[in-house]
Amino acid sequence: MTNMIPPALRDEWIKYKYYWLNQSYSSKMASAIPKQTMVTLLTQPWMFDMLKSNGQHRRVTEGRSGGLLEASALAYSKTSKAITQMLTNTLKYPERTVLVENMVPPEIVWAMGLNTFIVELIARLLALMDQHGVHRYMDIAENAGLPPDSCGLNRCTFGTIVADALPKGIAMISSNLPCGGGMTSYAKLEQLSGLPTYRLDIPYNFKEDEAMDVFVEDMMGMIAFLEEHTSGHMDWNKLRQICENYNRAVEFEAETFDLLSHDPAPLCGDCIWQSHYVYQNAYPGTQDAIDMFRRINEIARENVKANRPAFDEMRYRALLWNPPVNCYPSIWNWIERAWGVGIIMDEETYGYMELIDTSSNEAMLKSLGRKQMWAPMARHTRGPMENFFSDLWKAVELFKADMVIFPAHVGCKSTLGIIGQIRDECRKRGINLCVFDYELMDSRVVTRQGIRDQINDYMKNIMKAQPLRPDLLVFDDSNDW
Amino acid sequence: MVQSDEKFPFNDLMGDPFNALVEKAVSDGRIPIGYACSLIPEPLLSLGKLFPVRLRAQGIVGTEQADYYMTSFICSFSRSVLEKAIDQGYDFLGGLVVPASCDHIRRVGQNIDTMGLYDHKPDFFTYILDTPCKITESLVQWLARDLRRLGDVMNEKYQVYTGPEAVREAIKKHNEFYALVSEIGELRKTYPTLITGTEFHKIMVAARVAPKDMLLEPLKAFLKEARKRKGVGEHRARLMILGSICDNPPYTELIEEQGGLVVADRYCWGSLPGLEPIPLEGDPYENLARYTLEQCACPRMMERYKNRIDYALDLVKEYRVDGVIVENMKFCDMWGYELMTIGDGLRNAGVPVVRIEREYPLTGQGQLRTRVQAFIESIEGKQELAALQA
Repeated sequence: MTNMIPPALRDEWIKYKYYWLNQSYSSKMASAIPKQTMVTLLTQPWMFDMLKSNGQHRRVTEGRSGGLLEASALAYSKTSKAITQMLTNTLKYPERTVLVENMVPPEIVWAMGLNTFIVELIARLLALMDQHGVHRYMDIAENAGLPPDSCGLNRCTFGTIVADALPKGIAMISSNLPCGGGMTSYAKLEQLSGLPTYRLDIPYNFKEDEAMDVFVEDMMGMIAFLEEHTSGHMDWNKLRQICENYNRAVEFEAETFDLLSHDPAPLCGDCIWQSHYVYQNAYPGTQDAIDMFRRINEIARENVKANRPAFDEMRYRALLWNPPVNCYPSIWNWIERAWGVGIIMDEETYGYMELIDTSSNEAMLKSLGRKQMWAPMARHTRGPMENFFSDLWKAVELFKADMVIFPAHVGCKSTLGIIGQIRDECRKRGINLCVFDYELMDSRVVTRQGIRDQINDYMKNIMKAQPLRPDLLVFDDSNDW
Repeated sequence: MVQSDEKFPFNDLMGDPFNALVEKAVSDGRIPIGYACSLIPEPLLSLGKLFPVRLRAQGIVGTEQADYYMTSFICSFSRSVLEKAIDQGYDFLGGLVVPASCDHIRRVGQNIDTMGLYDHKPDFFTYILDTPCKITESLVQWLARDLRRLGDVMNEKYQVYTGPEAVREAIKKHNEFYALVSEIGELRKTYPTLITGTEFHKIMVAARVAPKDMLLEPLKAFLKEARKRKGVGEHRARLMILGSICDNPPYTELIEEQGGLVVADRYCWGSLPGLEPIPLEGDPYENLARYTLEQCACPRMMERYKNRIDYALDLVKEYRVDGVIVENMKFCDMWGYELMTIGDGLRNAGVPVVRIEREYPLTGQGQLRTRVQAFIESIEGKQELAALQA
């Protein structure tokens, strides 16, 4: 029956369906906590920017069709759902909310009956919703004395704290990830918020067996800290349930990753990154995660079965090897439509896909510890340099990549510190490498057109490619959300 | 004010890391081991024929090669060190120990290793030390374990005995040496003050770039001479410099030329903290690990910002500091955040603070002069106002 619906009509239905689903999440939040929503809307400018959610839906779905359209719309819609749920819980129960750094896995905190709110969430979301939404907080941070060359994510987050824009919580957990700047910013955050803070310390030599014991002890310290400073108590059965859900989601996602190596690639772009980033890191172990990864997997399987590429004019299979451009979230489908480049896999997604051992409490803690220690940013930005490369070479081979795109985030000192090695090694191995400069969150440093210009030059001069849509090479979106 | 003396005994050690004393030691069969951060315990690199030399790269005028490998957004200290390494400027070293202390310097060590810059030296080793970012008993043991492993590497490469007795003996000598340096440092507290900040800065640099045993006699002689002084002359304000790495005494000299007397050096390469004796009782590797983490006043120790503020305030009292120059190197994220935290801590306690962003080489001297002059004037203004109100 579904096959009888004309594709164009089906695409419109997908867009329409997810548009209204996204709207419904905001409405649910407003009806669940009307007073808090209104107060936050009146006092916090970032809340207004959240209302632009469907602008991002439009950008995600623009120019896409079929399975890729659905997977992208689904991943974005589930993201909206996760965020509104997180916000609702935080605004409703601040006394049960723990503010966590965005690389701290929330499973344990949830198992203790507490909520989490990611400290960097507002910054991340603002950049996705409106490229200019973050500037206000960055300027506040710089006026407070923060050097403007520090990472835009930390700058914007810091600005939200200085502006007293962060939702209230009862305690804070951070770690030494992903970088020195992020790590040290929490001293000032602790000073300003006055919240009791626990910090997890990931060893540099995290691959060694003994590192696990040291880190598990650290996690036990975190549990004891939360029991001391909050009303939460560890519920191991609840943790097991979360971990089992996580495992089911991982099984679907892992199978999808296997399918991505198929030529033509059945899926590509931000549906892979966004789904993983939100539902395996920030919001793992939920039924929504299972449902979403199952559906994405089905779409990938259908495309493989039909030998259908993610989009019709896919010419190049690419890897994106550094954090994606937050202030230009539609770069994924721009590069698809303008140059026929499908980004099959990215650095923040590829890597850790191990199941959590739920056979005992200790085994669960060890698995969760391993999950955090082996997270991409832990491996790549804090660990030995060879981690970064070994993963990249593996991914190039596994996903049969024609090119590697390396967004050189000018605020990320750790990855800038190896940029010469990346160039040398890719040259040695004959891998096409497109490096472009950008600032993760701040489109004033490198504009969206500035990014496009760099990619356009590379595609024309190095890849000798002809654009699919010459009208998309240069256009003014400087005032676009 | 006593100005920089051309006959100052350690002037010759302020230039190239392969200075006369290192050259003499190398010709005597001793082996210098380079290290890149105060998180590397010097006694461990002082076993047998080994001696530590802290990496400097003053005199590097351009970092074009390092910029290719690390871009120009990395701090100029790290880029300068890598540039010098690429130019084989550390060819005299027998090995290099770099801590995983900050993203910048860690990547320098990894680049040197990956590029194989010293592969022509068969015994050369590069070791990245796993230095935790907080202090717990387990993490002290974790670092101690890595220090033992570093000892094993040195033993394998240079056949030096790295057993506990040898390490304890090295700690003992280290303590004796820095007790002497501390005695000199105490002369900054006396009234009238007997040494300048520039002189002490040179001593601290010398202490890290030359075999310590070769410095003992000149230091003793300097101490004797300094004690006979009647003071270093007039100055307008007693200052503390607080911040990131500074191995360039002309920086302190320039500040002192404006009428400030630098009496406290709370920066990386400075003496506060770091000259306190390392305990001798118990396992020496554990002692080194614990001491290293507890003495580290770098913002990388993520749980200790309150201790750092308290420590800075204690120093203000102890050294009767009139104002604090907080400095950070451009692109150093960690000090970028820390200077806000610690700067606010000092200001809230009523301590005058000026914040200066700088590069590794001494550049922008005119601007620096103007800012220091203005800062000293503002301190004087506050003091006059306080006197009037009293």
